[in-house]
Amino acid sequence: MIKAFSILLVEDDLVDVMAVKRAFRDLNVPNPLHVAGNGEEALKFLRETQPMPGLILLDLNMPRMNGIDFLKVVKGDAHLRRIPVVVLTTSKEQSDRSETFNLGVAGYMVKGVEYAEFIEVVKSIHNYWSMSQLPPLS
Amino acid sequence: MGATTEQGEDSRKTALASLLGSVPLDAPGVGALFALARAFVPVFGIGVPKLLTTPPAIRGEGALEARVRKAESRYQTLVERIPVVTFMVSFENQASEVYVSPQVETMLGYTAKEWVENPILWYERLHPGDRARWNDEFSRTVAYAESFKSDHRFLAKDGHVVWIHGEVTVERDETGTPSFMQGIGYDITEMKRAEEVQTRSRDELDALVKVRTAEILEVNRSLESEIGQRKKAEERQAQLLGELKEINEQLNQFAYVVSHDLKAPLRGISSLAEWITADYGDRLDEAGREQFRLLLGRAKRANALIDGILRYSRISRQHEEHVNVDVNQVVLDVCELLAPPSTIVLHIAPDLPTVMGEKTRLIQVFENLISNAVKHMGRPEGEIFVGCKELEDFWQFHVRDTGPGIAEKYFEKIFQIFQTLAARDDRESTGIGLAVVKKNVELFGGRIWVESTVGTGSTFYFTMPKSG
Repeated sequence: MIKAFSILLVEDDLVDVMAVKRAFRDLNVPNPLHVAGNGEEALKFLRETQPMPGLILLDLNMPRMNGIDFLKVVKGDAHLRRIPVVVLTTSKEQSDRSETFNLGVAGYMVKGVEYAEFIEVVKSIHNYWSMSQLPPLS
Repeated sequence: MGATTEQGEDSRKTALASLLGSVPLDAPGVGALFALARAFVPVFGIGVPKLLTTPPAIRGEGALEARVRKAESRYQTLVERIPVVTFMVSFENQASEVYVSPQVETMLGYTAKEWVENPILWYERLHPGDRARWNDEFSRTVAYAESFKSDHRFLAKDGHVVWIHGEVTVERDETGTPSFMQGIGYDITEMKRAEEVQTRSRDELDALVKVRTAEILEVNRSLESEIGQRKKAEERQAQLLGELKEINEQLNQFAYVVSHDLKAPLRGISSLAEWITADYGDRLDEAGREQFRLLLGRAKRANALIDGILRYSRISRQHEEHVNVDVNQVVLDVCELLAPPSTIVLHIAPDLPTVMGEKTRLIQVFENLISNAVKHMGRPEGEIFVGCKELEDFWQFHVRDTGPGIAEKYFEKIFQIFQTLAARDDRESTGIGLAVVKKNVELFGGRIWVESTVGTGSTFYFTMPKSG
């Protein structure tokens, strides 16, 4: 980890939020974690916060504004579009995969039913993005 | 000439006198037999009528008479040789000079003499069916000086019917009283017969045309009704297709909702159970930890079931292009992916065909059949055989194992969704695999069945049409 950029988790399920936090703790991930309960909250956070988070972890099925609609707004926004978005979902649907990649997501992770699998998923994300160069965040 | 005698002439005169009676010849609408008979009786008797030849005024002049006789002879030849009967009736003094040429015998069998002797013979021989018409037509000729041209049937002496065309003109004196009439008649039986044949043929043709037209109309009607029915069926089909599409979309939506909305809380349950065990395990006794272990197992099973439902529903929702599929490669790929323990020996026939079809379906079928064979072997060692037999229209594949076998009473049941033979706690199985296989096989137009002996092993057969 070169520098501890912050990560925005867009997730409505409390247990899933707990799982991410627990995985961060178990894996000693140092990055600050912000949580938004749906797409609208996430957009509000992104527009009010400086510097912007270095990574967005996005659930797809959420109330008010779901992941796909959120992606459409973010990828249509000249300022926000550069933030890498990794989808973190239960859906293996082909339609979800094609639609999100068409909208320019940087990755697509499926949450397994077991926490042990989930830890592996979070570890992979962390390892990759702590090595990767990030876009300028301001 | 000379066809008549004095005696004949006398009888003719008597008959004519009696016939003529007192009916006025010019009475309009004369319908009575006698008047008509008077007008037309061919009661001539004495050769070519004098009216045609020599007026009485010039009689007695020798040389002239000789010339006249010569001319008369020529006329006689002419009148009596042409194939036409000529006749003449005089109305003068009620004692007419009458004549009928001898050709009449050829035509009707009665000699000219007989005609002259019996002044009403002609009427007797007129076909009864034509008498009324003749009366009508001829009375007009007499009354209104219309020329008479008509066809009538006569009965010849031997009884056969002869059609005669007759033409008559009535000559009148300066007061307008009919003085004589003359005419011709000839046999038109052949013509009439030809006409009849023609008419009959035309009638038959008309009838045939009517029948055919009716048939065509009938065929048209039934075609129209068939077209109508077909159209209705097509509309119905289109409607059903539309409904089916809608239902499929709803099912899609449903499957997606089930996938996410059921799986999310399940994952939550299993996560929490895991965390409780991890965080507070030391405060639980063995029974408590066992319960959490069971809780996790059930959550996992529910998750697998949901996955199974999704997989099963996806089979018929997703179609792909028919391509040439090398079954050798498919089976090799599947085996590599499944990576069965090395104690299980796989025998794959080297001559598996290349078939036409949806590749993913074929992969799913072999994946489930081979993984079932591995999973249900029941012991670490075993053998699995994959092969194919070529039938006329189908490929018949088989996957044979040396496992425990299946009792015959379960041969059907195992292909039903969610049916498993082992208790779920002994062996985690959703009962989806064979249902998925069956649905795929049926979707590509094949059939699946099992043959098995308990203790020896099972062979799963499935067919695939060569046509793709």
